[in-house]
Amino acid sequence: MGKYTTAAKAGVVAGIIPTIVGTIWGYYTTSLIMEDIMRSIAAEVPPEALAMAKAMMTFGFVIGAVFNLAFMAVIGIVCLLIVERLKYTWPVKGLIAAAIHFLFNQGLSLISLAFQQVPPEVMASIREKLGNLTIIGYVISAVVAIVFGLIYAYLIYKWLEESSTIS
Amino acid sequence: MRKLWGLVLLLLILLAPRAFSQNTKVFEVGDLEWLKRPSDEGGVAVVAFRAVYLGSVKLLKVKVSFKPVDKNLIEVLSTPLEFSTWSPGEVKLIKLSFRAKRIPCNTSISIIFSWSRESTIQGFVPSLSGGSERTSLKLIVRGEPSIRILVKPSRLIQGSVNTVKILLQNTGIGVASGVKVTISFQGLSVDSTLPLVLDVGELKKGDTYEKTIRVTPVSITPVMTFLVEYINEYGELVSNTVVKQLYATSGGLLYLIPSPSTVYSGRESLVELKIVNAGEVDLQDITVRFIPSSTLILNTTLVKISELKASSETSVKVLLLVPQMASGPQTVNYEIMYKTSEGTIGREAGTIVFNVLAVPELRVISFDAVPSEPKVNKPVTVSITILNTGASSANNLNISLVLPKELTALRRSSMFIGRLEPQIPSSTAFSIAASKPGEYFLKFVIEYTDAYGKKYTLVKQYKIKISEEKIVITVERRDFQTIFYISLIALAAAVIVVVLLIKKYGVKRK
Repeated sequence: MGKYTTAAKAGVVAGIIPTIVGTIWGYYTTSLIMEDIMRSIAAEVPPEALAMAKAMMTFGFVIGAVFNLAFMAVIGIVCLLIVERLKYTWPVKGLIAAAIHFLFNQGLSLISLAFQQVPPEVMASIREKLGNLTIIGYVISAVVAIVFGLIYAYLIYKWLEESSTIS
Repeated sequence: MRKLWGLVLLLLILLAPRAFSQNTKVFEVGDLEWLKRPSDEGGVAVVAFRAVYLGSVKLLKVKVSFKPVDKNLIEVLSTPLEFSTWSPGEVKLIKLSFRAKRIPCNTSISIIFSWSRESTIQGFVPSLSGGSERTSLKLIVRGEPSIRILVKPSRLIQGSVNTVKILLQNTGIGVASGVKVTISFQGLSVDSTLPLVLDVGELKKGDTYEKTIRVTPVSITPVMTFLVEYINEYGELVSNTVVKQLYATSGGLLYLIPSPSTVYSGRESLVELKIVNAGEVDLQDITVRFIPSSTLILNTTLVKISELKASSETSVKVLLLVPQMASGPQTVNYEIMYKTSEGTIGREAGTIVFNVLAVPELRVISFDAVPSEPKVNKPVTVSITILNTGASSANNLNISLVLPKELTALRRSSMFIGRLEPQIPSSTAFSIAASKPGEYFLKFVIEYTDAYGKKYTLVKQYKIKISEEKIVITVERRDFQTIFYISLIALAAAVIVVVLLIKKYGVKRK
């Protein structure tokens, strides 16, 4: 098994917990703003339509989780490219991988928001409704990034460095 | 003496022709025959009689005129007759019409024969030979009876025992003696000896005779044949045959007519049921029993009526429940039992047909405006939700929004939806903007048609308040503190773990 494959594998394994936590958190926050998003499309939202939209959203999050694991594999490779040359212990490398994970995640959120056609007044409503949850989202994102970084760095250390492939 | 003889000779010469042509001028009349008898006092009668001339010479230009002996009894209507010649022994038939002023009466008519010339058989025509003769014709004028027959009822109930009343009435002006009526039946079963003979006896003017028999029709067109025989006042035997055509039906004497017969599905209707007696006999103790229908529900199953006259109707009111799903012609069967005034018990079954109209009925179940507190020059989305609570689909559904001049429709002001099925809600949204703050009425005009093309219009108005304040969306505040603290603890734990790991493994790799 090559080192990049190992790095991708480490990224996927390390990304399992962040993906689960991120999916739950995303589902929770999206549920709060779902009605506003629907009202931006139609003035009157029947309860049946809202239930149908939530069902579709759940399905979308499951698919998104699978894609997120694939994304974790990419991050694993990117992290390997960055940390393999550094002469730090694996916890420090884990912090660096956590920072990469955090930045990638935030960048991805900004890109996805840029592509969504949400009217400004609806966006204002969403921001108003989410309130402190935005800050909490950053904190949780940081926590899952640290968890990802530590697990990733430890796996790399175990699978690559301890077998003296790198070290 | 010679002069005397000369005078005698002169008289002989003068009187000889007259003595030679001396005529025994005798007219006789007889063989009276009634061609038309007077039907009532003042009625016209026509008689024919023969007149014979028994003279010895032929009469020329004979005029026959008539004169009643008593003008209070009769009035002669015939004009005088004229014959060019009347030979001895010749019989002429003369017809005479007159008006009978009083019946009965015995009277005579004077018949005056007058002529202006007479001649020998050989054709010699002397001058100044006219004359006249008078005779009389005796008239015995009597009233003529007229026997009318009435059978009630003329419509019978097939397969049931019917009580039939036979009514004989002398509608004439004379007396009918020894009246005997022989009745034979076709298509009727009679509980008496056949032929049925009625010895009525004497029927004076206006007298009636009734006979009630019980018959059972075995044909739909039974026939009763009456042979009426009697002796009139002239002593003549009169014999008439009267055929009475009846008809028997299996029912239809009584039937029910609902009013109104058109009802709407999903509603209850107060229906007036007309019970019509189309027969010719009075009915009693009428009981109408409604047989329960699988679709329509009546609030009663039994209606009783004590009496219903012939050719009349009465009505009862019943409450009819029509289910939502019913449409088109729906029937309610009934059975009627009754008793006729003659005692016959009848039973008929029938069906009432109701035309159930399933019409749509639209209702506005919600109105919404987003944002709830709109602002001037900002788009506002107003929407209404309509529900078809009727029993059939609404077609050609169109919703229009009528705005005051201060409000403007941003995209459209009407929406054609087309068809809306029952119990299906439909929402329509319109985007508007206001140029000035204030309270405005939005008028929604909802137009639709039913399956029969009938057009319905529903107008609803809603008030909307436009303000200049900043749009404030009501936010449902949640208590996020717990989540926030948990996330902070998790972050702190992660940082501690990182610090401990770095402390253990160091920063730089050895």
